[in-house]
Amino acid sequence: MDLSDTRITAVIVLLLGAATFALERAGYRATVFVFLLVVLAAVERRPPWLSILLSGGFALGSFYLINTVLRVPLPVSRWGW
Amino acid sequence: MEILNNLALGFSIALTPQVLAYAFIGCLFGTLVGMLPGVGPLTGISLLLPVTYGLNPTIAIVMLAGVYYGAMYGGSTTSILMRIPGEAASVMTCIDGYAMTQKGRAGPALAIAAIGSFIAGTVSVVGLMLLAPPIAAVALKFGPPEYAALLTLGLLVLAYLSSGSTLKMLLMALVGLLVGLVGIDQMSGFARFTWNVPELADGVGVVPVAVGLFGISEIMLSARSAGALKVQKPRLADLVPSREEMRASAAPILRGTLIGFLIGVVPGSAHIISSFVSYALEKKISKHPERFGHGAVEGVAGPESANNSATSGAFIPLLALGIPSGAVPAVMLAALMIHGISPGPQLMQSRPDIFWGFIASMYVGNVVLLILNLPMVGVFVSLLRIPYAYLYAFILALCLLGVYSTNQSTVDVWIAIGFGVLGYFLRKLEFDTAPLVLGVILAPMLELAIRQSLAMSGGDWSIFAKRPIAGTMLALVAALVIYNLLSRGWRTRVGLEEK
Repeated sequence: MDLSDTRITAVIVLLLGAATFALERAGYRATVFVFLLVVLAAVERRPPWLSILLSGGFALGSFYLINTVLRVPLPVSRWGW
Repeated sequence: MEILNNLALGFSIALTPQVLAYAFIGCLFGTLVGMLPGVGPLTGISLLLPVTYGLNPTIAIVMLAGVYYGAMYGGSTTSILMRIPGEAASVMTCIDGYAMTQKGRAGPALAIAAIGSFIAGTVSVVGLMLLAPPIAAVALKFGPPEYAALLTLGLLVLAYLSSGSTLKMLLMALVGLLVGLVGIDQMSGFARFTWNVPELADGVGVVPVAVGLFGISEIMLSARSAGALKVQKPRLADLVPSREEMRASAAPILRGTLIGFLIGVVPGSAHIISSFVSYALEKKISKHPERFGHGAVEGVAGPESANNSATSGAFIPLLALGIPSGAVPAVMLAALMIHGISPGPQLMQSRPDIFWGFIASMYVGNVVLLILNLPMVGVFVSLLRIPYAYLYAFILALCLLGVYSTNQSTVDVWIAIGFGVLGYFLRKLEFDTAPLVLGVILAPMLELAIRQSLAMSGGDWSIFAKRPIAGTMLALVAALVIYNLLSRGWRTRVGLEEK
């Protein structure tokens, strides 16, 4: 069995686990923003400004669509974000 | 003649600008929710249900039906492009649809899925219109023993799904059945394998299992080779299937339509089972079954037609008898009852405007879907131009969002991650994970049907043989097993002789 991709697999599992743990504590927007930022900027070494822009855009855009427009409740932190 | 008059009444309602607009919104919304991993037709319809409170009943059911068959189509898009089933019925499309994408044939795969869905949707509505009363009468005769026999037959079809070892396939189905038994015992109310986690009382959901096995594990396997995905330019010419692909798809589309419609009438997860059965049949009758799993267009055409056709079939018991055949029709039944409408044999007489308006809107909806989806196929294909490093990050975020939003539960997300890891190792070991998903879906239904049957007979297992329909289906099961064993033995012997 070829296990040469174990490192990236472990990183993905670790990041997904951390995001799941944080989801209801830190809120959807902050969790997804940090999750995407870490994957894009740290793991994939993409340009920081683009990573911030895409992560922020996805986190805010998907929250607006799912939570505000479609009214499917997504977790919000105790500080309101 | 009476049918034509009724249909004319239906079209006079369905072609009004207001109904057309809501059919369009329903189809568009359905396509989008079908594409999102984990957000299937049930979630989509549930989300839109409050929106319909202020609408008249015809418009409400037209829009909700649009979501249903729109989601059937939308689910195929992510299956073909990303190997992520937008909803469970698209699991089979992942196999050859994604293989076609890897071969640079994503456009034709999407186009065939759209054409197959359109043909199946249109033909099956004709069937719904003409055959509703007699077919529903047969399905009405199904009790728990017949249901158990039918589900056993469905599980047996797994034997035909395996692309490799039959033993591995059976093992996967068994694991799926075991996972499907987690949760509260439906007969005694006893919690099984829940580990004091309240969220597990309802069982392990199909969505986290499917997203984990098909979505997250795929990312784990492909993330390292971030630049490996072949990117296509979304030119219109790329989307046109070749003549050979069209010819190869024609018969599977027709067979899928028939299978989907017939299975759709029977209560259960018809659109899921029908796509599994259609795939198995196409693989079984193919002269080159080894092509399946490596980009056979028949593996896309058949299941996609079957799951769309099954949506129409599923409306037969709902409209003709007032009995929902699954979770989605159950939500639609609730929607109708909110509006003071009771579906059933009287509906055609008491509210022909609703019945025939709905039938006509399904024809219109299929045209809307084709118009909506074929030009947008290019937009979907253009997703492949995004570097995979970005794409996989957003797919993971979508998996997180889709799984969480189904039940607002982080337990589901943990389950999806767990099945992602499991899927990663299983696929490394060349196990086919599709039977595991089907096992999870069928386990609760099969268990309940068997136990209800035994309760009816006082524990006498011969009830399954004594009832004509159940007995016939079980005889078919036995015949298929014997045929499979004999043909396998024969092939082995021939192989030995050749050596």
